[in-house]
Amino acid sequence: MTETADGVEDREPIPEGMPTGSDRTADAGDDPLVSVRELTKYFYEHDSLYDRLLDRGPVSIQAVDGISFDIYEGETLGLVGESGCGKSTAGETLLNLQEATDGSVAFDGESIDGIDGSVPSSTADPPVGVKLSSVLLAVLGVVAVAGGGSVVTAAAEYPTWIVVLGGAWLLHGLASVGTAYGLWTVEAWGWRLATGVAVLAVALSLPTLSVAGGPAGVGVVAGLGLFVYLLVRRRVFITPSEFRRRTAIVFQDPFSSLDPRMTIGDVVRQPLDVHDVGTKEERRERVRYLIERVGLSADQLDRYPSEFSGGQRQRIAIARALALDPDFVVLDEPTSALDVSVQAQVLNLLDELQDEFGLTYLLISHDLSVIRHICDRVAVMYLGEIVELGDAEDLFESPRHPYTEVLLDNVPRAAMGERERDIETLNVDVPSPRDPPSGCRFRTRCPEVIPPEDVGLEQDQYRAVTDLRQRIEDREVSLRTARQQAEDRIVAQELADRLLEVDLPPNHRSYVDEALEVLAEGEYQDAADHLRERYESVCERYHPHLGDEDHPAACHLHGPLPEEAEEARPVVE
Amino acid sequence: MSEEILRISDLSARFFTNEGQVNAVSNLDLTVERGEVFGIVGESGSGKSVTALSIMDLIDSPGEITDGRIEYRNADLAEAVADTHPEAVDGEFVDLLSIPEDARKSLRGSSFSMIFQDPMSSFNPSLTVGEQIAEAVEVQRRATANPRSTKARTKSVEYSLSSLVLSTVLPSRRFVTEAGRKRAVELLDMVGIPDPAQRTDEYPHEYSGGMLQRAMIAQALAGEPDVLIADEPTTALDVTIQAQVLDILRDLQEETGMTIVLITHNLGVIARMCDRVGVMYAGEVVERGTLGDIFQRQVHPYTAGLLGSIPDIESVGGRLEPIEGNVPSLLDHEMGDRCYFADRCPKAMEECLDKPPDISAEGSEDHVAKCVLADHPYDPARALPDDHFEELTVGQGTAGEVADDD
Repeated sequence: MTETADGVEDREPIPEGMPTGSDRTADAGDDPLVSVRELTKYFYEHDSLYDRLLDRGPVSIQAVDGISFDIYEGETLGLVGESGCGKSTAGETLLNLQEATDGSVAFDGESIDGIDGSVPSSTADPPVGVKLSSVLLAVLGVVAVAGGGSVVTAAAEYPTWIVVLGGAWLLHGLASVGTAYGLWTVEAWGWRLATGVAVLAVALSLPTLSVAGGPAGVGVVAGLGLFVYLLVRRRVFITPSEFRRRTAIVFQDPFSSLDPRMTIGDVVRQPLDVHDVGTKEERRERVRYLIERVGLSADQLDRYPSEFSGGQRQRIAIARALALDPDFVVLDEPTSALDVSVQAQVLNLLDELQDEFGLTYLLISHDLSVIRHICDRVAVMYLGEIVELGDAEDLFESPRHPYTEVLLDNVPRAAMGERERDIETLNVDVPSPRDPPSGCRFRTRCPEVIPPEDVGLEQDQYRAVTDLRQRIEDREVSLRTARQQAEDRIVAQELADRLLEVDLPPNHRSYVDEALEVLAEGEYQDAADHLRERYESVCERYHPHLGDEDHPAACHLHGPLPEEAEEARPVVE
Repeated sequence: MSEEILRISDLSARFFTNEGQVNAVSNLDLTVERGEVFGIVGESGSGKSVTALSIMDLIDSPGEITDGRIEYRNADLAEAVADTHPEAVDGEFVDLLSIPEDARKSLRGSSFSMIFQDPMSSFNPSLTVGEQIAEAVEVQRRATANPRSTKARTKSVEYSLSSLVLSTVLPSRRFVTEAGRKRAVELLDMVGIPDPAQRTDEYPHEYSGGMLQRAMIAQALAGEPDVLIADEPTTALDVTIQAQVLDILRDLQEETGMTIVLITHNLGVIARMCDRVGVMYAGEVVERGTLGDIFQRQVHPYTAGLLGSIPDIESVGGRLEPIEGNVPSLLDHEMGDRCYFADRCPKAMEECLDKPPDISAEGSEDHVAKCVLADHPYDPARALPDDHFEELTVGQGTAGEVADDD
């Protein structure tokens, strides 16, 4: 892979068979069950019609930014990271519960509709023609509805095919106006609106029809309508896909993921009903079996979720996930809402079920001890990217990415001697995924940033200077406060006292002071540029990629540094 | 150093709810020494937060402290109340539950301070963080200047439109003073917030979770309290942030020598921070002792069960050994007069059907367990049959349903 710019649009696609951190790829015939390539999910802020009228551009939140990994049959892959790193979004997107922005997911060798690498329509800007016609048609539609019966009567004057075609055209326009103009993003809403108008139009035209076709005509139309309604109720038009049957998810909070108005028997039976599996008797038998298998009693089937404790509810959620005998289950923080003693019960249960039902798990968790306990392989996520991927044993024993090291180090151990253990803490907070740092995303917090070769500063001194620059770039330094505080002293001096917490060697100190003098004049950009000129790190200029070895880590400390000649991504727009 | 600062004996707190009386804390005994970090660990519903709120006198209706003494060592206070409430005073100790409301209130902030689990909801979103800390500083300043009146402390802290207009026109009417603001900057600096001078003027939403938790610690330190009660201070935070906050708490404790009562469900946090630990279950302290007593010489099967339930990050273990069953109901009519853990206990014996007393166990002199195993070893011959509690549970189930129908 080349080390070029890393924007989504110009990222190089990874070839299909590219290994992503497991030696198992070497075995021929052992194809992955789930194969995720460059999966990307952005959420957009300021993306409504109102914002467009005010000419505000949408702001993207890069929740998941091009992650690739494989999950093999029968294994448990752990996805670990801090809150907000995009691990839950990744889990939901790969099950197509969230619409992917880009990337593809293949399940058992077949790519999944909606996440097959094509750009979905809602993110693409519609052509002007579509915009115009949809608005025109929407207006016409509204006039038609407002006109009511008279329009219908007038329409009856024209030949039938013109009325039918015109009506269809009108309805299509209505259905697409919403998404075309960003009024809403769910395409189905437009179709619901159009269906509503169509039903209204038919209802209004019934008198005309009865004139034309007599009561028999009304009867035929009404009968057809009822028939279609019944079909919809029985879900004939929705055929749940094979992918949905073979995958399942267990959510974090068992208090909000179970419908409080359904008995637990109904909760577990619902997937069987939706997928129309077996006879009534078989379904009942299956539900009883599952409920007992997860450690509850079958005579509790008629109880409601509110009568159960958190751990028991999570067991019910697991039973529901297993109802269709899936191959692949995403466990999204399945135990974080539970007490430790109950957590251990649920973890043991998940372990047993994996062997018994031959399940493949993707376990999403922030708890490294849980990950270590049940995962075969682990992917560490930071700000929407996977920074390290490897066998659990390897990754926990010899972490390669500095972020993984810090994470492991920071977990308090429940053992004697923990008080004396030295922990390296990070003093900077996680940057916003709206505007992630250039280059390596962890560089703003990394304890091992690579300084330019000839700088000759200690890591903490170098860190102090880069932190200072980061704050200047983010315009976080308030000159007003500084001027007030400085009183009769020089503002640059005051800034230095306030912002620099470590002593620098004299030559560096004078260089930083120069920048602060520029800053004191209010020239944020120039001050930042001045500092960047001398202290810019390679971690900032080049985005590190996850390599293709057995235990890859996206870090410049490993692997060759990119060529200086290559074009870097612009740091500040 | 081992001078007791807090002595809780026989404390019971009950909540009177529609379903019946909930025994959140029953007959709890604890001592906390000056300058130590005392940990209270337990699962949700074990009564650890209610214990903390009892010390702070923050139990509100329908809850009530029904019994017991919370004695706090403070010679000045003892002298002040000796005449009016002689029954409350015991040497330098004063029973906080038998002195008047006003006197108890005056201890908040200056003697006891508390930080809560969720920093996001503990700050007022419409005031700057600096102002909220300066407010605490000002309350403490007034408390020292005029210890007799508790009312004067919060006079003119009103966030109404009229007071806003008035304080804008007349700066002297403002509650928060310039000195208070300066102190707020110092406090924020103490808890390691970078560039505190600027951060004081920011609103809570501009802070991250970890920084807000540190700001809350700063606020709690405004009155230079003797005892800081930290109720799950890191539960809502990520591990990296948790490590920061724990570090700061520990540094502050070493610097100021204050006493910290740390409440958590995380045994790792306990191991990192505490000198002595109390393990709570169903409203009781079932075992207490030094860190070594709890982690290496634990007697109570519940303590052992808790330790067996946590996956180890250092090594890949086989199966976890969880505690079977669920956390018990604390409804009065559902609690038998027995060891509350007996129904989940792998080593339940016939004598567990009586309430076990506190029995001192092997280890340090503070090591006490509410379990007969501290007295004599497990005897399989006297073990309770596995299904002993099953009938009872079924009975309880129906009782619960009847209560629901009402």
